[in-house]
Amino acid sequence: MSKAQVFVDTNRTIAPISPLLFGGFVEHMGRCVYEGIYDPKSPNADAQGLRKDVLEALRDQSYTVIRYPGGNMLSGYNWLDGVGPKEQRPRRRELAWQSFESNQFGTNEFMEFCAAVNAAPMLAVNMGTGGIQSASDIVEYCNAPAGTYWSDLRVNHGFRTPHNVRYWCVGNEMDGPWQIGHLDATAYGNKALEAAKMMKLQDSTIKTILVGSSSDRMPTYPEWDRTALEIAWDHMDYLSMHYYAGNQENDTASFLASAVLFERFVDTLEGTLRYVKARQRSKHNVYLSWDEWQVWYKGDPTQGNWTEAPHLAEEIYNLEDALVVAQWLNVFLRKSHVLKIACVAQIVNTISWLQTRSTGLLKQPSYYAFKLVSNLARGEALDVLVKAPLLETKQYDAVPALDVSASYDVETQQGAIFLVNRSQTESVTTDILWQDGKTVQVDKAWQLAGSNPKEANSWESPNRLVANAISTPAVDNGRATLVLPPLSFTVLTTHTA
Amino acid sequence: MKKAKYILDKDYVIGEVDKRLFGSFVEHLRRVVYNGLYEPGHPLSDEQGFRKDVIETVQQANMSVVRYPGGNYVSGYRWTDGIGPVSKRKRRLDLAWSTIETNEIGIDEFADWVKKANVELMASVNLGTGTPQEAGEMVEYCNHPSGTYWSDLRRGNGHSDPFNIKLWCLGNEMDGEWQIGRMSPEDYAKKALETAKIMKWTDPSIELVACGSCCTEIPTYPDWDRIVLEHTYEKIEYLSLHRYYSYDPTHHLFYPTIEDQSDIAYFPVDMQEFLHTVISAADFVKTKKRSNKTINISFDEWNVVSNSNPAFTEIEPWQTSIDEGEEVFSLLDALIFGGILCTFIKNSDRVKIACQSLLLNAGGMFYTKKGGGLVRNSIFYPFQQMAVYGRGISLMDRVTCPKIKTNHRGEVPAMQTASVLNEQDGTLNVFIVNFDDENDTELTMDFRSFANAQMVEHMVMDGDLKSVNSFSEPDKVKPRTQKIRKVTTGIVDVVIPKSSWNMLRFSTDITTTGMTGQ
Repeated sequence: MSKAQVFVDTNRTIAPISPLLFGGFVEHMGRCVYEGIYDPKSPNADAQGLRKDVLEALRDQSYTVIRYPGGNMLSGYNWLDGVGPKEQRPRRRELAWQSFESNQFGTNEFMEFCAAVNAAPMLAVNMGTGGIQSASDIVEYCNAPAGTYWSDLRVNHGFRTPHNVRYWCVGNEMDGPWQIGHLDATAYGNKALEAAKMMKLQDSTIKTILVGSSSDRMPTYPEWDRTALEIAWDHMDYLSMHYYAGNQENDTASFLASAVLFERFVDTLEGTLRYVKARQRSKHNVYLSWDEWQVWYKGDPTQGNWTEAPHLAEEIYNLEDALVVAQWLNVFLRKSHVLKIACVAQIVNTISWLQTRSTGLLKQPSYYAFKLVSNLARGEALDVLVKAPLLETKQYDAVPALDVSASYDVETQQGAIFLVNRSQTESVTTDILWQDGKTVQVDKAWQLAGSNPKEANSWESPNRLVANAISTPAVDNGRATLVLPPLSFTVLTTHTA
Repeated sequence: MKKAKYILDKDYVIGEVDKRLFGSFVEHLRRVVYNGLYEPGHPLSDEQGFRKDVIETVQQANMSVVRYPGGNYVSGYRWTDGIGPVSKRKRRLDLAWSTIETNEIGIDEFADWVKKANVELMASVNLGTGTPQEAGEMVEYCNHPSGTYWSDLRRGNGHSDPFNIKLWCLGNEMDGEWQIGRMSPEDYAKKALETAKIMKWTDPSIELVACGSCCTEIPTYPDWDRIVLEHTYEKIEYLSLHRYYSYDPTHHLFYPTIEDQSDIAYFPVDMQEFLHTVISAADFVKTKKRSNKTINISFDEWNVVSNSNPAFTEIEPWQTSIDEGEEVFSLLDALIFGGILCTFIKNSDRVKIACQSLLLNAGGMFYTKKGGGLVRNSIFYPFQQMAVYGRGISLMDRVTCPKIKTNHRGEVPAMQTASVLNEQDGTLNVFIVNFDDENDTELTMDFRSFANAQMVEHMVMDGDLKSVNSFSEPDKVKPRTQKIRKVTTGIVDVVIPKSSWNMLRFSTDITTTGMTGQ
């Protein structure tokens, strides 16, 4: 059995943890909207057609912000198709996912959904087929008080009070050759700048998100980011980044070290932001919005073959996927000085840890990892020092067996520690050492663990992998010892006297 | 009295302090070479005309590396003017500084000088009027053992052993419009790349420094740095940066500055930002090139600009010998100087070379009188203490301290610190500047993992901010010993006087660190 030490010091803070790090993403893709959040035919639907059981599961996960409506679908989407009387809405061929779009769910339904899960809406404007006028119009439609053409249309559609949407994505993955209306960085930067100008002239309180690289594997990365930022810097508040992790090579040791890649991606873009800020001689800050992230690689179809609400990218998530998700969340905390928004893609059915049937729900293991961190990480992230045995990996050389983050809220004096043991074979006896001299107590502890990295939940065995409450370790003289089993995610909550 | 808090853990490692951080710079400029380190006829000069008191002072400073021969001077310099029989050497107009260069000192003489001073030579090649071929020939002259035209020429000039110069600058400040042969970043990068190839073919063991931005005010910053790196990345090891800090808006180099004396605590913050930005540019290029190589920083000109900087004194052009003029630094200057050194130590993972500019008289840590003595400036002492005791592992201390309101730069921390663990003998050496000119500060130092730390020395340099050392009062500004405080269970309260430079030394029982962190 190997040993590790985790040093926790409430004086060594990184930055306040942005609540918006615990966001999600809803795209009109597969069954995320239809049969996911919106399913009027289901016995579990409420009067608005929203799935009550889904809403409850989402509320349990405490999502703070939801990005909508896409995704690749956005770049061919006319937002006007999704507002007004439902029976008059056009049925469209949705080109990105080769599906039929009924448009029975649109911007206003999404606002009701956000209110139901108590999350802020983050809307995206079409920079593929859409023009800057259309981008400006939807801001007016959503945010302007009644008394103008677009705001009155909203009122006519049943929403007198403005939606006051604060977060706006200026396009989606425009660096990708697959994108409808794909542009080069300069053309996109120029268009995004003009769109953002109009949007902010409509409502100066909104925050805009510039499309950054769709992955660190894009040939244009990170040049795309620099070029677009240099053009649009003063009109943007966030730079978007997307990444989907996968274990295509079935190299679990490397896959379980994915935090290395996540951190590198953030570090490079953080450096790019600093570089451009200095270049622009600007006092304005731009932060990172990791607004699509998830494990996604198992090859479930992504093309709908011209059907409605097809089963697309309905990934089966196993234990190793959950441990990668837990590390991802750890990275969010460790990079909280620059990373301010993150949206898991997606929140139900499509690339999601939450699956629906018309009468039931399946929560996959990573559902629990997200739920623990989103509910417990509060206050400031701490710069935790980890001394752990090193594990060799093919892709990243040696990595420590433990991946750890921690938070501490000065106001409530409550803390949380999040520990992944990425070893597939070794338990790690871990000493947690609080170094600030305060008296600490562990209040609660949970663990998600298993013996097989490929183990998953199923409709037949839905509770094989869940976060179980475990006994709390005693703290003696600022030290607590616990044994972290291999392939595990452990969460402790603490308070200081 | 104000209060501040300092915590330190042995495992928060920044990196090993490179000894090359304690370097300086010799340029053919004013009284640095002639009537400076070279003064034939002076009673203390050796047979080559080198002042022994200068060499002694360099050794006392524990200096590691000296850059030579420029500076702006190098961009018009034909290095071959400085070799061969001295009597036959050409007298040239030095266009950079409007003097007449006698070429009495060249690479052969300076190679002798660095040997005597026991420092490493960092050579610059001319990328203004010079060609890639001339740069390659200089490497061959200096480093090739024998049996070729250039190496045999060196042997004929009295140096049978090669100089083995490992560190070479690809030009100087090629972004500055004042530079002889100034270029666009693309043009410089292409020339630097071709020069680098020839130099490394001549001697593959050398390390190369490409010109980065000469200051942050220049309009091409930081595009210059990115573009140069995008072209030269695989052929160079370091990117050069320069920066001079002036707190008098009427006395500035290069570009107008706004800072006044209220802003001095901002300078280390500015330096941190400058380093952070250029390192970001370097790592951006690393990612763009999908490279595994990391480019580090050579901060090979830096200093405080005092009001007695010779650049602000008009002199008669085309003189061969300048007899007077030296730069005198105050305690205030030494606080800024120490704060900048702390910033280098705090970035020792990426800043690997630093050259304080210049060695003596003009911006020097000491100054001489023609035919007379030598005085150590206030800035000599922070340099010396760090060069002697600041070697080892730089640790990330965490300081919570009062802020100072500045006139132009908002609120900035009143203190700068650097903490270095010497793994060989287990001593922990902490350097602290207190910029607060009104309040002494009680600093609670918490050594955490150094439970058995005991203070062995506290040296302080403080007093009147304007005080300077002179020939009549050479020791007016100099560190003095403070009373030692007892460390109890790893915690000690220390008074850091207002406007002071401090070195605190502790014994610990830790002689090795090792970290496997994330």
